[in-house]
Amino acid sequence: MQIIYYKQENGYAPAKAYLVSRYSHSEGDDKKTINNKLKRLAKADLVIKNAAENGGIARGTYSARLIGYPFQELRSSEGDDEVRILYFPYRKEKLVLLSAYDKPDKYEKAEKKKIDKKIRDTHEQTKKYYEDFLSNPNHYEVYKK
Amino acid sequence: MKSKEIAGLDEARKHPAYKKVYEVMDARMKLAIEISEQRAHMGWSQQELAKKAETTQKVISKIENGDTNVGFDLLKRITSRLNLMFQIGQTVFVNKIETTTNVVKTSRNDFGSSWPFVHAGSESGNVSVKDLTESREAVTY
Repeated sequence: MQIIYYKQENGYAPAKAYLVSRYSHSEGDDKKTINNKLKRLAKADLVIKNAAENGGIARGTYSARLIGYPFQELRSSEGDDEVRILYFPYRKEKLVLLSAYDKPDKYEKAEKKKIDKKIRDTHEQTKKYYEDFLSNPNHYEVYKK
Repeated sequence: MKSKEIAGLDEARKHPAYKKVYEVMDARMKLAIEISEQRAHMGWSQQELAKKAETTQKVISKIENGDTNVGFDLLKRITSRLNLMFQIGQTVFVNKIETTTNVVKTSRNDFGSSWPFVHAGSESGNVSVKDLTESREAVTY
């Protein structure tokens, strides 16, 4: 399967923007930070590749269905980095990366509601991306590994 | 304040350390997949496997996420309980029996219900004994 990023008409690709913001090197990053970012990027790349090579469902524990949504999530974790990439297989040809977010590994009980709401909001927003892609399936950017 | 981005994903992937960590992550992920699929095949929960392998569910979860560097002793216990084979050099570790063999080609059928995670010719299982003996039971990076 070809891996692509869903892209809006204005050129914004949410999944790509997230990965860039999370894993690109930034000014002031020390060696350890750069190594951690590289490790996490490699893990995300491998999880995405795993899904693309297996018909849209990653082997192992790396993909999960989302009840009530037409897309699924890929789970990439490395250390305290817990990333979810929302995606769906399009016509068995393309693996469309819609958006991504990070899920806190550890949090206070009181924060749970807030986190759950944030995740729900992300899913709802991603549903709009999904519908937008279906109406404009040529709006995408190829994922380059 | 958001720090200034100085390299995109393409540049990051060209970094000399990227290839190295990619290979490590790839091997861990292959191991993770074999263990989680075989556990599912046996119909066990992570908790059940943890109990049988004398570890915790959290460790099994980390292994199945490819999120940890598994030590030799724990790996041997897990593969033994799961009826999985693994091989280092010419030594095959399978079902609590260690044998020395020249046979390097294996398949799932060779071991009944088992699913070997070290495939002949695959780099995924090429772990040196030194690495293994020096590693702890489960070391998280």
